[in-house]
Amino acid sequence: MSCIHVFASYWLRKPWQLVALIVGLSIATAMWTGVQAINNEAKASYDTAASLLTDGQYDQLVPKQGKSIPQKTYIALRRAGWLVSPVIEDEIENIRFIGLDRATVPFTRSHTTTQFTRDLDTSDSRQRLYIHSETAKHLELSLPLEIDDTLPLATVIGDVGVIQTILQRDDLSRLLVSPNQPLNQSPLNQITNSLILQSAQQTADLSQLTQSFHMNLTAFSLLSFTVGLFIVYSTVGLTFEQRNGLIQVLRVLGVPLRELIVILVLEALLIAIISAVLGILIGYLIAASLLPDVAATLRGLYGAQIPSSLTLRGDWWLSGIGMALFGTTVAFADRIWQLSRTPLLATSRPRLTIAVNAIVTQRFAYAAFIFLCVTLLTGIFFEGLLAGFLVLGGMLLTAAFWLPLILRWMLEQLQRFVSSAYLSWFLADIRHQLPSLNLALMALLLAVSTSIGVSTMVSSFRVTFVDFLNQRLAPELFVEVESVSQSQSLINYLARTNHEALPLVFMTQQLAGETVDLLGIVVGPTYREHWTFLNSTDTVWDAVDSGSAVMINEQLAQRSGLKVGDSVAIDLVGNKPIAAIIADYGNPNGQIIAASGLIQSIDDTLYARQFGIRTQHVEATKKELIRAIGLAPGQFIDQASLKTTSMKVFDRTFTVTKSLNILTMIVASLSLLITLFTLLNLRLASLSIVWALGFTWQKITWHELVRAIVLTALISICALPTGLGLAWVLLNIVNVEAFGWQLPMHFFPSSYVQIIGLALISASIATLWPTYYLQKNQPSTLLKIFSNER
Amino acid sequence: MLIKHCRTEKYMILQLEHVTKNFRDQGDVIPVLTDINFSISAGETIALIGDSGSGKSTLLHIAAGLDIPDTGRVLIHGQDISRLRESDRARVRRTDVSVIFQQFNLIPSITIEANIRFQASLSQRTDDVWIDELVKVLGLNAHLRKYPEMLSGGQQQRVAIARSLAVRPALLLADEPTGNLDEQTSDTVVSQMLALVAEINTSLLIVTHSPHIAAQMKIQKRLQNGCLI
Repeated sequence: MSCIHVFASYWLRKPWQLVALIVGLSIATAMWTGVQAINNEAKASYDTAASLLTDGQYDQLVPKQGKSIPQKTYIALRRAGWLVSPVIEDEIENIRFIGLDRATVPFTRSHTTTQFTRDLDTSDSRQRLYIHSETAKHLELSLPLEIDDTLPLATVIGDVGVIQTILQRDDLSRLLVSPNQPLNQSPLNQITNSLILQSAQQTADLSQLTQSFHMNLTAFSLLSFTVGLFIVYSTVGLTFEQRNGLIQVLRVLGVPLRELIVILVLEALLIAIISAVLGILIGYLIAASLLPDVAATLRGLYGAQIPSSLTLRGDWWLSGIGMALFGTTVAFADRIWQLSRTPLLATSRPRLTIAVNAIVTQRFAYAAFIFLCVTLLTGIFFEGLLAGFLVLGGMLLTAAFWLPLILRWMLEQLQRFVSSAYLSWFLADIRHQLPSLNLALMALLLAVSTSIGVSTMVSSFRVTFVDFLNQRLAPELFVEVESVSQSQSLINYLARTNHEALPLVFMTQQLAGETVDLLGIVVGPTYREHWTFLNSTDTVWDAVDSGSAVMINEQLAQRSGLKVGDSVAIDLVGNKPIAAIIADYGNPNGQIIAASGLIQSIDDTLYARQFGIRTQHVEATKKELIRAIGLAPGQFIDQASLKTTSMKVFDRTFTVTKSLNILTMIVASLSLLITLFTLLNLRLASLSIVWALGFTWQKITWHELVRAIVLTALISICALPTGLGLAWVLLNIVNVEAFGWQLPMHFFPSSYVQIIGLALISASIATLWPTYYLQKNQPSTLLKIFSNER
Repeated sequence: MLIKHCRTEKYMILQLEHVTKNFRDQGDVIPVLTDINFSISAGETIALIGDSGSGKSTLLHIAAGLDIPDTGRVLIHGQDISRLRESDRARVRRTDVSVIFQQFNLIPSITIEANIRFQASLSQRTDDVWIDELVKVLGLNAHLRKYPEMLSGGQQQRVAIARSLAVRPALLLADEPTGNLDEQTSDTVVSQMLALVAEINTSLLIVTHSPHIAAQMKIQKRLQNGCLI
């Protein structure tokens, strides 16, 4: 008991070290649990959506073109023995309405736990609409509502007839195919040519689609956890070294080593639990503040609906506690093991010795070499998103562990150019402090490198995306027609009025087990002038125009391993050589682009449904088309609003990444602040010597601030190539694996200056407080350093 | 011999006039030094002895300009340093007064050679010939490229002596300089220090518990309960 009192009294006398430990571990846990909370919330939403029925559970019949299946086709299929169930689905003001047929729906009550499925057999529930309580708050419907919080957000489920009435439609969106089909049913193409069978595996599974996005978040939270762990490891190391003497005295007084170890383990456990609880609470706040942006991103990119408020879930409480315990174990285990091996009378090694400095730097260099080997081997021999992230992590750790060696070398080189004794001492002093500051500086390097890397990736992506939008959205006006006659009238009108028209014919087909979009275009000057290719033949446009070749998007090229010169098989047309590969950012599907005549030769019922129109007078052309052809205002989309919407989606997509990035920078600055605070007493002692030799205390302490600036500047020099390397891996490996597209890398010097400036400001702010604390020390405190009675 | 400044007149280097110092502890005033009057002339060596807590170190710190008295004057070359700004007191510490501590207080991050040259370099009084002699006399030749942690206690204290004398101070203050050394090493270090201060006519005020070391100084003064007796 008295031993516990002795240990407790140490923390009472050094409250900052205790705060440092708890803050470090809490922040590390918070970043991890915060992101896990977001991921879990999203995954729970996907599961609910999937369990509802529609996505990824059953084979489906979907239209080859358009979004509509006539009811008569459904009836024809049923009569031919096809056990299919109709689904009507559409959106009104971002609310997804899904209508299902109670009599034919293939799932049973046991499949799901939603109220809708439980009410399947209840005849009086036919008129009811099933809705999440949060969605119900924003929706006014005259029909009876059944609140069911197991349903996804922004979704209304009801009987197919009821939903058709609400949507004012009399057609269907798709047909669910029951797994148990009769043996003697007629083949699909004998009943209809307008539908295509899509297997369950091919339907958009949200959790699969969004996997890369969540993996991205997890990677960032792991990075932040690592940065937080650096704080803990560094502080634990310091507290053990400072308590070496105390532990030795206790052992000499007869306290068994085992008892000391038990007390230290209990101490670690207590710290872990306090930090875990704090970390989970901070994580909850981080998640709650980031979730609206994540929700918007997932909605914009994948059409996935996740709630914008958090639910406290048991699994991430456990994950938070687990991570805090893991962090504490990593930090304490090494020290406790060292203690268990230390002979009773071994003198405790002084912390800041040249020999220790050299040993630590050497060990770090070995670790960096191992990380480099692992990174290179992973990059060469493995593929996939996980390998991409491993390369990314390995590269960052290599740079971080090499940092002490590089900093030491840089300071030595600087010292060679300095003649003044004070400056020489100043640089030597920084070098001498490196072992104590190593982990905090490594954390800062990780944060600055990541900022540079992510900023390069996002900005490169933005530049490319803007170019891509300008290329794809060259026509000033877009029109979607509703019928063959409207399409033909529009073609005739545009030809008569000498407008350049870019009609688009669209259908889907199966290619190597994957549904691929077929896009028919009419090659004209706009395409020839605006479209650029990732790779192409010299005569690409003429070849595509004549129907002798096609273009494919990067996603298809990537997934199927196709390149320019290879052939691609198109149903009923045969093999066509690939003349070009185009970038197609934001499209998850494979796409083949060919002359519209070639696509129409597959199915003569196909017609151009969408048109791009070149015009100098957008409003006048709109009015004229409404008057002459009878188009409705809702059938027009202008280029400017499309661009704005696209850029909005783009910018929100990276809001979370940027926020996590800034949080990591804050964590790194905190790490520096905490390390400097825990080192204050040591600094006081070493600076007092220089004060006694004839310097003003003010000047010496202000140089602490200069020291932080010098170190941050040197770190920034190291962070720049690391960050650019990181950007290269993100653009050329991670993006390709996650999204199927490669992006050109651009450089943004002004951004780098801003990031480095931010790092310098953060490091200066982190140093200001300890500097102020040092500065307000009275000479009487400094004199204690020299007093023999101290 | 390399005597560059020979002061033949009785010239006062340090004068303490009616110096009083009190410490405050939770509202209580604890007198540490009471009406101290004391002076050292050029080349004089004085031993200050007294029990632990008698105020010896405080007196030394005040004489060095590291601390200031509550009342009274501290004159170095006739100038009251207790009235000076911190930056001017720092200049006095750099140029006129050197201090040797019991804990050596070498700068751990720089080599022995850099440590020896440090203070002289700060005050722009680097004299290579004199430094070479200091190194030779104190037997530090083999250690110049080493760092303080690689040296024994006796060697480290010799480095501290070399550093403080490299600047050719008018006054050398030594606070228990041999407190951490064995008797034989202590004797060697003190005799080397005395020879060197005599060579450059530097005054020496040494705080010690050892009657043996005190006996080697020209004058011995005892401090008891904050008063010189």
